[in-house]
Amino acid sequence: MKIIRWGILLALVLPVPFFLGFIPVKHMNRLQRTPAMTYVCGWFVSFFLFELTAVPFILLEQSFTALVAVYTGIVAAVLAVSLWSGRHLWAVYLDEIKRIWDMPGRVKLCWAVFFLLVAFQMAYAVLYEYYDGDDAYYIAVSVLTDTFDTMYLRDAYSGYIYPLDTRHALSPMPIYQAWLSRLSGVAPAAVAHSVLAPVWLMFMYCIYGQIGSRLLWNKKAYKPVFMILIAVWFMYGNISLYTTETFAMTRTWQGKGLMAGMVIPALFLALIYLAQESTSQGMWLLFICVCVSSVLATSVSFMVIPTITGVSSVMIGIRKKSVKFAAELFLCCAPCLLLAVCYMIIK
Amino acid sequence: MKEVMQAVAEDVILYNNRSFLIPLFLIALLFLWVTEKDRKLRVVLLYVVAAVAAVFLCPLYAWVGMKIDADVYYRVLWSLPIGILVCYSAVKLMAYFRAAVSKALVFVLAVLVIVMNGDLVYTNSFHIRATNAYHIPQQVIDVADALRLDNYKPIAVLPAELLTHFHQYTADVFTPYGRNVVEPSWSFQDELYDAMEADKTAYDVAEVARCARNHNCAFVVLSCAKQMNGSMEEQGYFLFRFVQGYFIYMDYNYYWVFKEQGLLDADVIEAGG
Repeated sequence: MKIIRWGILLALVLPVPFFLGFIPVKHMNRLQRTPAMTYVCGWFVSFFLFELTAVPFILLEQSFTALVAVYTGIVAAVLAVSLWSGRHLWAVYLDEIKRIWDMPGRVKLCWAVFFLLVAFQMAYAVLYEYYDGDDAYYIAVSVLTDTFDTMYLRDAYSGYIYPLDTRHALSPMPIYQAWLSRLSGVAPAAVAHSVLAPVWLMFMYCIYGQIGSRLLWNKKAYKPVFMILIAVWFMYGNISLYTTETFAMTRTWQGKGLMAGMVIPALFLALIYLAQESTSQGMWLLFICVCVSSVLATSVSFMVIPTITGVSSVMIGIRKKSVKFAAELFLCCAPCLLLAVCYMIIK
Repeated sequence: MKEVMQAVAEDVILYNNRSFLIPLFLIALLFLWVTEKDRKLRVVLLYVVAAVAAVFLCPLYAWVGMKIDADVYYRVLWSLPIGILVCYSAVKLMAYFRAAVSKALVFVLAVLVIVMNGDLVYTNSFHIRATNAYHIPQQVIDVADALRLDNYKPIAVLPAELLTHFHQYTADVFTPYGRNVVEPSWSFQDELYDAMEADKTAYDVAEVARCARNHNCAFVVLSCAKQMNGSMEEQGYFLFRFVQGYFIYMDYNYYWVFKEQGLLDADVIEAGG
């Protein structure tokens, strides 16, 4: 029984996001159609769907079970569509994998070093626990949600009934983790600390890998060197309690860690591609999903994401000499702005 | 505005924390400004990043940001892709050299700069070997399991060291307070917490019992590391279990009521007599 539970959980965090990523990746160009990009896109599609589904349920004070039923149904439907529409992608992935054999020996060695570094970090995340006081809120909200079948209507510190916690209701990352817990039967603390901590580290390096692919598209042999430096950078980034690297490495499973380690780099990944002359529909899809996912992660996104998007719209718009493009780019964060207005009203 | 600028400067200084991070970022930005020829990359990596940095340092923007939440304004610094810029600069520098030795030297130098400038996350933080998949101290799990009832969710008061982790494991037991009372900066006050924690070496049992009853606690958990001035039995409690160095007492008042209503597990009934 225990093995089945953990098996379901691993399926929900490994193949399910991968398959969900087929939809945007199908609409991307050749350089972007990689298994890592698919996995990255899949997570952001999951987050996008969850944010848009969960927020109305939370604000209307509906039961968690109802949300689980609806969101699971949506994921199942999107998964079916994704698997069918992306069935041609397998051949592209196979080509990608075959190319590994053509790499020079020193490049393979560099990749091996990088994967060892990541494996070490993932193993450390599973085998060692990190004390963070904020878990007393985040994980407790997941536990309360699963136990009482309500969302943000209980005080995380005592368990007593409480008015709707509007400060956190629009960024329901703990509810997402409660969904993983409900479907798998694994406790929220184990989901966050033993599964999401290592899996999201891998997710983070997939994003950086795609950034590396774009930056070094004409120097592919240097990509593993870039990735090794990034891995070392994160390992030694704990210069203060406040850095991106500290949050990404020690609070990977929290919304803040997700924002610092994954959402903002993914935003830059999409922007780098959107700044090119020709942009793929898939990249636009990824960009919208990242903008909405940022709200799921943390309420800081209400300020940060429109700012980055706004500045990027102006800069890329000037470069492309296109007001239309700038407006379209900024419109991608409209859901984020709408949720920000919602936050100001209900706060 | 002066205060806002001071607060922004403090945020940057706290973020940087005596390291070479911000100067390294500026060096990488300057290096790429000079060397990066790809116009599409220049827009996002240089112009957007520089403009975003300027916006976040702008007093008016910072004033608005701090009005929303001054405590977390430092998080806008996450928007600067410092790691990407520094590592990409290092790789670009490597690519400038033809000889493999020179490339290797640049790589080693880059790693050394990162290592010497930074702090290893695993040695400079609160990491300890995990004892279970929850990553929760085992004594918290054992105490929580002892307190859980099959047919009822009781209220229990716990020593401060168990509070942060307790509700990460279970919501089947209520507590009068949690981590909110442990954080000194949150200025949360509670007479029961004071009774439990004010004296670091001993419990004033009569005071603990009085306050616990005021908070409707069926269970009181006391650490064996502290002395007891008085006896819980004299206050109308019985010792239900001793778990991992913690005495778990149950209030007889609740015992009789719960027992009558059929809410107690067999082991509690056996202990209560």
